[in-house]
Amino acid sequence: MRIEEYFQQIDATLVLFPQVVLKTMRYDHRSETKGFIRGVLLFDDGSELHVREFVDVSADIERFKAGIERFKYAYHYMRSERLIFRYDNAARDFATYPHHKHVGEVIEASPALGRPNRCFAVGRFFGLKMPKPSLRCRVVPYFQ
Amino acid sequence: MPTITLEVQDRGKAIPLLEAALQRQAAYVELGVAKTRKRLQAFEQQYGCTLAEADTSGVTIDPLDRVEWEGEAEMLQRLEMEKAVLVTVRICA
Repeated sequence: MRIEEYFQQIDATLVLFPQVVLKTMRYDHRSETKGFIRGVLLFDDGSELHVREFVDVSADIERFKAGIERFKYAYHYMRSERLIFRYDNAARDFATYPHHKHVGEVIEASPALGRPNRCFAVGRFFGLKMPKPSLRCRVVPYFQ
Repeated sequence: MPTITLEVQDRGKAIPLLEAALQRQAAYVELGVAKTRKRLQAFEQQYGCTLAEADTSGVTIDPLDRVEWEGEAEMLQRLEMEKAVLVTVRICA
């Protein structure tokens, strides 16, 4: 897979979510297989998901599904300028290091954010903990 | 060094094409390296230190900036590794 295909899959998947009323996604190619995504999804209730993903699609296919590794990420969900939660894998000392989750001021251990067999951002994110039932999304066969 | 074998229709034509493709890929990766270095420098200018210095001196970094900064640092390592793989390929005719 090339990084361009991964970016196209994300764009195509986001279109499937009517809750996302506005998206500002920047796809930054660094090589044929590596890139960076920086974006904001604005939901119909006014909440926002800020996304950062450094992606390598030439990863060890034995360890990462379809050879896709999100080696550094943050999914920062906020409403009215207030953090609701954030998953990221910035360097910190956790049992699940480097994966963890911020809920307000509290930091919790969290398993690695999943294999990308669910939809991008909204699905794989809100599938773990739903802040609002209406935001629950369908599971979309993202990488099939 | 490990060896891989390619089957081609015309060896004489395939070799220069492969060499050009490898050179083009290496040049593309080099662009990515330059872009990544630039972004790392931007963070260093913004915070007035390197990421390692920020960690030891207790500089407060915006959480999303931290993820980006760490990501850029790892991206640079990966790109440099990718480039090293490309430039050390030797075509044995």
